Amino acid sequence: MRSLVLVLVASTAVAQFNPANPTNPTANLVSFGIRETPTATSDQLVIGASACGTSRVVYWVWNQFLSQPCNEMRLWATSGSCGDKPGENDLEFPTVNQLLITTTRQGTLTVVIDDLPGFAAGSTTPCGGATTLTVEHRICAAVPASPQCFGGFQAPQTLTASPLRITYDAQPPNAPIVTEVLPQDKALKVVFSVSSDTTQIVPFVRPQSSTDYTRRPNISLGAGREIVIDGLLNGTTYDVLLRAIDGADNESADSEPGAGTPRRTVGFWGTYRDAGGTETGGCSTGLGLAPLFALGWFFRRRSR
Amino acid sequence: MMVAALTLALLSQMPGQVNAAGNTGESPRTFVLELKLGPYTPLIDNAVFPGLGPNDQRPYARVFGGTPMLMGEIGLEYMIWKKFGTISAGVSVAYAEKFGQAVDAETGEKAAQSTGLRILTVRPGVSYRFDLVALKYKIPLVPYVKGQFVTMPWWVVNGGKLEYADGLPGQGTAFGMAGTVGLSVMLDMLDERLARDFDSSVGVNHTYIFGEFNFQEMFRSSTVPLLLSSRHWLFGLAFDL
Repeated sequence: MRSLVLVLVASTAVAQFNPANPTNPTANLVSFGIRETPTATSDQLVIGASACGTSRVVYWVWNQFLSQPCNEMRLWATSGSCGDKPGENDLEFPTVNQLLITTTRQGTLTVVIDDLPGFAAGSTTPCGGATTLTVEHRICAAVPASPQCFGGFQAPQTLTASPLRITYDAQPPNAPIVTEVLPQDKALKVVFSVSSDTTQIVPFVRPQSSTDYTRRPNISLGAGREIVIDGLLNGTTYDVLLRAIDGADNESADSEPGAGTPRRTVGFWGTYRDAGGTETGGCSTGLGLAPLFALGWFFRRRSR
Repeated sequence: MMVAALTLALLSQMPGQVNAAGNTGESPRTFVLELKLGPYTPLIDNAVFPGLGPNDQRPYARVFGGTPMLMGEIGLEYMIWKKFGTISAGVSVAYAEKFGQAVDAETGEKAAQSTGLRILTVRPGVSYRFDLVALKYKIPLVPYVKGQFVTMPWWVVNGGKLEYADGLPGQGTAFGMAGTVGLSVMLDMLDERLARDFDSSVGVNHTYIFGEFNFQEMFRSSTVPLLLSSRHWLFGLAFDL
């Protein structure tokens, strides 16, 4: 009975132990799979048109303890489903030696985006002719594995990895709609609406006397749908327009411009001063801290 | 033998088994921890404002609508005398803020920009709790008084940045004194066994809810001050540790 309890406890511990992240044993990491990073929990990598012509390094991860690889690991990219071996049109990567799998437990492979099999070759359009705006690939892996590879007690079975989905998304988000431009002190508050896939907003601003817009730094989008553009001059009218960016770095078209004029505002301190108030005085900081020193002196005497 | 050793080791980790005075069942009482929350309205508008007429709205009422700030406070006191009630000395730290709308400098109309007053309060002081009756006769009421020195750094923001007016930054530090009268209700009587478990497991001897009235008077300068004096209530939870 005691042994049974021990086995149960040990099996729970093994199930929760995560060698890739020993400080967080409950993190939901893959036991055998392909991921963007060794500790990534998501199985998806979203790329946009800006990724065409580039390559990405992704990781294979081996956290199996009950099985051992009995042969080398095969890795491939497919535009369909993985299966347990590469298909005819799939792109195969160099294999990984079985000893390397168990000793390093993770490794990298470089994926050239343009070489992915779902993109038609020879075209001049982005990523070798992706005419559709969303294409999904999978990076797959498989290895024959068994608890005991030698001796013939248990025949190896093909173990397939949890694949990494590389989603090519060239569909830009909708252009933002500027609903309001409100004046602030040396700034403009811009209220807008955007499509749900927007992750960042880029503001552009120009004085109405100028022809060129200045691009301001990207602003990550939280729950709010308003931004403040600061560093402006009070009394000068500015045109403002916005551009939306999605998770695949696709930029939308420009919004219709809005216009606003920053105005000097008076906050509580200005209101107080205008009413004749002046700053508190009468005590220096040193004198004000005297009670603290007195308390410290009191406790020091007690400890003696 | 091993079980006995383990039990002994475990019991020695429990704070509530045997205290220094030899009283079984309760750990030594050393500290008071207080967590408080309440409305705080500084008496800023009670000052004299030469720039305003008798019927003009005062600054705090104009910007913040005259409603109170929400103040949160945490205090820790060390018990220095426990014979006829308890005398403690310690310090508390509080924070309060209030936001309203700034106004257009030319038109005086409300602008699309927020302005806020933020106040940090540090109050070192001494307190006396008449807890003799509660501890000895199980009558769960503990009246108390406190005397404290007050240090209040404050600052004003407009549009998220420190506000300047006439070239002066909207920030400063006020100093003063405070007196507090309060009444605690000991909650141990609601479930004495749970209270004992709370002591033996985490070392909390007694738990209270309380309400207290604070009379805070800040030192004034010869000129018109930003008057942060107040008369305010705070309510919260206290723990004897």
